Amino acid sequence: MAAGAEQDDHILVAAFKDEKLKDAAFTKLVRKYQERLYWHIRRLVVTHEDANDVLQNVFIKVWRNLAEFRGDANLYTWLYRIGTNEALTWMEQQKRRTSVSLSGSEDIFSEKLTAQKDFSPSKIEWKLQQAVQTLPEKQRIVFNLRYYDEMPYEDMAGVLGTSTGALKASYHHAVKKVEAFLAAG
Amino acid sequence: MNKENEIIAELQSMESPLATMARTMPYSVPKGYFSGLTADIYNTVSQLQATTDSDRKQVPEGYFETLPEQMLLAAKQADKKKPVLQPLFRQVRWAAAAILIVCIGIGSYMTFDNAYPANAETMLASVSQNEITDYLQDIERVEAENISDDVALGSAQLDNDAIVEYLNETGWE
Repeated sequence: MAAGAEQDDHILVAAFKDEKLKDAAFTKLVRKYQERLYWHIRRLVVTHEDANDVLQNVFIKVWRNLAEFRGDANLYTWLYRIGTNEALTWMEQQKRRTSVSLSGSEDIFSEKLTAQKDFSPSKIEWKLQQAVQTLPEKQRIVFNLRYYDEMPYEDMAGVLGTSTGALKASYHHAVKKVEAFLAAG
Repeated sequence: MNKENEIIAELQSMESPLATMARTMPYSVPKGYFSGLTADIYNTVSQLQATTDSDRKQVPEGYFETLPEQMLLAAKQADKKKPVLQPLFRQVRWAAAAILIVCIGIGSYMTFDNAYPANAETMLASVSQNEITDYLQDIERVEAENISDDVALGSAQLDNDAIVEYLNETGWE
């Protein structure tokens, strides 16, 4: 993340801690990160409705906890960490609900993907999404953060609490699996 | 090198076909969603804040400030009540034990006491008249025999002077 953007985040956090500036600072923060967080969550939970619900939860948590946010941490990775955790919690709940119903929980997100508006299995962008859905959860997150969000490994380590070496290996495996899925046709 | 180029260069180093693919998301988003999102989230957070504030107002003023002292007082009062009940319970227990011991004692006494006749009168009452008559006749017969033996013994061994001497010492009457 650029140094200027990081400086802006420090100013936002400081303003949020001032009761008079709190609302304005929060609005600015939401406007700055809403789209990036939305897409990060949407890639995991697939549907817009679910992504919207998770995003609301994320910002509620931000509102409640930003005052305790330490200045030495990176706001952008902190937001992504909350977003990732909320999305994973949501997905776990969805799987549990599905596992008690008649259909299996394994393919729940693949089914949601194929049920999307304009879904076309012949189009490469949809095929790529199908390939990503076949990845294990952690690899899927790493792939999305690197391939779509263009996140540096150092920042990713801050989000996921994993070493950069392990993240690079994970991304490499994910890329190879996606390629194999696409090649299989 | 900017980030996009960095990602592509990395994929190229892996000789991945993904390096040449467009990274567009096929998902659709409702029209105008992002333009209204900030306001939506702000409204949600404001409503939550208002709910929290109204929840706080539903308790009497200063309730939470005095709550710890009230809880401490209540806990101490609850502690005080316990010793009053405890000795009373102990007393009842000891009284019950004493009553039980007394009952066992009386029961034992009555059981063993009934095994023997109460006194001589009770014993005599259980003996028939004939048995008593026979007994008394036997006694008289034995005494008469003993006297005649004594007389016979006396007449054989004592002379008249010894008898007079004995009577002089003890008296003639």
